[in-house]
This record gives sequence, structure tokens and C-alpha cells, in this order.
Amino acid sequence: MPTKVLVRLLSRGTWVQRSGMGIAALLLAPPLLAQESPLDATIRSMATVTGTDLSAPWLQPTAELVGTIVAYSQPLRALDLGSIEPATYFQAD
Amino acid sequence: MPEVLISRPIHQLAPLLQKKEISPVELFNAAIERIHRLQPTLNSFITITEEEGRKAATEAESEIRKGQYRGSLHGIPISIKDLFATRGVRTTAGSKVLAKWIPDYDATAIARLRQAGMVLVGKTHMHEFAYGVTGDNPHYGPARNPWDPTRVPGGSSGGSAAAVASSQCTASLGSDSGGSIRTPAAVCGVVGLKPTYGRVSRYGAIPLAWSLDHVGSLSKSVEDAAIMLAAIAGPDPKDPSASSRPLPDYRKEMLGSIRDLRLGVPRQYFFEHVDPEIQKLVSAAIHQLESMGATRVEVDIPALENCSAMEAHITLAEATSYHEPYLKKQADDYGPGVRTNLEAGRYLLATDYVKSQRTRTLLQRNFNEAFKRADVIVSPTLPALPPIVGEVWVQSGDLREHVIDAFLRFNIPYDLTGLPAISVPCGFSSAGLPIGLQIAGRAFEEATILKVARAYEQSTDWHLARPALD
Repeated sequence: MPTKVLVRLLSRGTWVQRSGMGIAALLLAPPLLAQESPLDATIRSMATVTGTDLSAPWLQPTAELVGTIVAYSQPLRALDLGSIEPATYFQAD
Repeated sequence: MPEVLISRPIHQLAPLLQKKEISPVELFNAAIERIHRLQPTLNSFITITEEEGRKAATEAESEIRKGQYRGSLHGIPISIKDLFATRGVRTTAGSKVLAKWIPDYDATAIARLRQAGMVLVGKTHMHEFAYGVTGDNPHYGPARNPWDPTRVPGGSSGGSAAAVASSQCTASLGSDSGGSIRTPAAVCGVVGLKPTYGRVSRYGAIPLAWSLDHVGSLSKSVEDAAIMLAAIAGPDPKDPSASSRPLPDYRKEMLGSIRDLRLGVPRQYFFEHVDPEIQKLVSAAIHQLESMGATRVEVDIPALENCSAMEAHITLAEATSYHEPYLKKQADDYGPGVRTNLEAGRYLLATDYVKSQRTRTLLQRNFNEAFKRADVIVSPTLPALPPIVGEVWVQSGDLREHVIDAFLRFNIPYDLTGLPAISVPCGFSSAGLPIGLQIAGRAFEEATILKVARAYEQSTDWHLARPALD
């Protein structure tokens, strides 16, 4: 399979379908039975940074979406943009 | 009033209204009758403004009778995406969060349409807070495509496109942050214009992502898109991003030959993983434009490959920032998809957001280079046909992908760069589903893309087709 196809399959859309099942599973199953991924744990530990405790049903789908976006952001992070500044519509007047 | 009249575009109705050959009240009644008849099938509206509309139509009739004709939109039945604040009319943004909000002010674009004499027929269905591409809304039910009601009308301005395509109104106001005007325009077979960022004030449009949000129109013809743009465009002290550049006479400047124009066809990205029927019809449309005298040139835009990541970081960060106060008080009122998007926006890195904004600059430079070789850039509006309501996977040629990825792919470059782009009907799939041709241009050169779009439209009959709903 070409690389491009693999990258696209790891898309934000992949999360959407899985998240429905994830939310349903977490709502139906006792929380202790749900296996926590490393990203779930990271997000849980960020409560002091965000000021928000993410409640259990939202933890897994949120973690999956964040994980997906981070995965396909690697080429963006690898870009060397030199002195290029951000696009903005800020006006000093 | 024969229903055939309500299916006509603004540029045909306006002279009849001006000459008093038809009445705004009769036109309004025909629109309202269709809305009530089609709402159970298409669900294009969240709020029907029958009382207010009738009052506006009566006033328009009285003014025209007295010789106080205001212009092409006077007495025309128009719908508004429920994203725009409308004074005295419930504005939900397709959400439960704002289900009872009745603004005491008008969005700037609404105020201008009222000034131009529009008759508001209703607030159209939309994806919750414009945060999606299908119009599958957990609070108001799914909107449906007039060409095949088992399928989505696209989004987020799906109700607007479906309402125009099915002649429940003559034109509609929409917004576009990732293709939300052009996507539903393409799949519903109407014209969708996203002007340059800053050409139309965003004041009073509930934001999805401030730096990506654009206000534009959905209409039955390219000339109608020019009429709508002329009415809503221009500087606005209430929106710091609104440009004070002078407004051209779009209807005048879009006339004439495209003989001297260069059609840019991108070498990368826009023609990869595309449904074969779409590929074939868009190629035929490009040949048609060439046959009218335009010159085809190939262009390179290498930074396109990062568009999806850029869009994700910018949309998630800006949307979560806007929704934070509502999330604190009414988190349970959000649908699950939008809620998770908003929660995720808290956990992305600020450095990725800034990197995305910096890469936007690079993308703009790429497009600026491409526009040295070309006057417009043409492509499919979408790579795939609209899915059945509830289905989220589509086939984009050799690639099976999620509908979000598919419907954002060719639209988002022009939201990221702010460049103007229009989708015009260019044919139908073998299943009878409309297909859109996208034409993009240089910043503030809406007149050029309107010119090319109009020339194409005039040479084909696609825009005359109407869905069989009666």
C-alpha cells in the first residue's frame, strides 16, 4: 500500500467511527474494566494544566482524536520554515 | 402563482418584480408552500419565519408599488443559515446550547440583506455549530439531499443548499470554514461562493474558527452569486478583518470572454484519489473552458500536503477557545461528535497551532507563485459522492476514506489561504447526483472567478436541472 494511503487512513475520520463504539463501551462497562492507553493517562494527568477534569466517557474518544491528529502532524512538525512568520489578521490600529 | 416561478434565479425574478408583473407576496407564498410541503422530506429548516416573511413581503410589495424599488434583492425570498444572528428570530447554530437564543441584533450580512429588501423565509438547518460536513445533526435530525433524500446534503450549510436546490427559497446565506458553502453546493447542484477572507464581514456569525470563517452565498446561478456578494460585501467597523478595498461592479466585470485567461491545473493533490465519474466530468469541464479560448497551464503548490494537519490544529484550537464558556456551563448539551472535538482542542500544543499558522504563510506564498502563471485554478470541489445519511465512509477513487477527510480535502486550501473560490454544477453521476467544479482566484478577484464560472455556466445546461420532488 502506498505511504500516502496509509497516512490518510490514519485520519481524523478514523477516530469518528471508533469513538462511537468507544463511548458506548465506556458508558456500558464498569470504568475499572476499561483499559487505559498511555495517551488516556497523559490526558488525565493534564488536568492541572487545562484546569478541567475530563470525565470518563470522554477520555478515550478525546485521547484517540488527539493521538490521530498528533500522528498526522509529524510531517508538519518536521517542516523547516526558516523565518516565515504566522499568518494573522492582527492590525495594530 | 405557478410553482415554476419560485424555481427561477434572482436575475430573472428581479425585473419581473420591478415591473410589477409578479408580486413579492405571491412569490413568498409560493416559497412558504414549498417549505411546508418539503420540510418533512428534506428537513432544510430549523425555523420557518412565516410571520416575519409575510410582513417583509407585504412591505416590499407596497414599496415597489410606490416606485421605491431598492434593487435586485427587493422582494426576493431568501433563507439564512441558522449560524447568523437575526434580530428577533431564534438563532440556534444547529445546537441545543443556543436552542432558545433570540438575538437583539442582526449580523452585518443580515442587516445588509434586509437593507436590500430581502424577504426572510427561514433559518436553515446546519451541522451543529458548523463543526461537520454532513448535516447529520443530533438535535434537529439529519438534513437530506433533494436529489436523493437518502443521502446527505453536505455541510455545514446543508439546509441552505438543499433549500435553494429544491426552490424553497431563491438564494441563501452560508458560511465556509472548511468548505461549508462549496461542499453542499456541489452535492446539491447549486452555485456556492466563498469570497476572499475579509471581503464580507463576519460580525454576528457564530464563529467556528475565527481565522478560517468566511461568509458567502448559495444560489441558483453565478449571476445570483454576484448579486448576493454585491449586497453583503464591504468594510465593517464591527469586524476588524473586514477589508476596506473598493467593491467592483461584479455583474459588469464578470461579463465577457475568457479568451485571455489562463486556467491553472494543479499537478499535485487536487486530482489524486478522486471518484472516476467526478474526474471525468471535471476534465470535460476544463476542456469546455479551453474550447472557449482559455489557456491551460500546470501549476505547483507543494505545501498542500500539510493542509489536513493545519486545518485540524487551527480549527480545534480556535473552536475550543470560543466554546470554553459554554463547555463550562452546558457541556452535556453538545452532541457527542462536537463535544469530543471541543474537548480535544484543549490537548493540542500551542506550538503546533503556531506552526500551522506559519505554514499557512508558506501555502499563501505557494499560491501566489501559482497565480503568477494562472488567473484561476480549477479542480473538483469534492473527490467523492455524498454518502447515505448515517454512513461515514466514502470511496474517493482508489481510496476509501472518512467523509470528513474527503469533503475537506479540496476545500480547505482556500479557507487556509483566504482566497476566493466558487463551486458550480458540472454534471451528474450515473446515479443522478450533482458534481461540482471548483474555480479559485487571487485575493479579492472574485470578479475573475465569477467570469470563468459564468462563462462555463452559459455554455452548459447543468444549472437548469431541478430535482424531481413533486
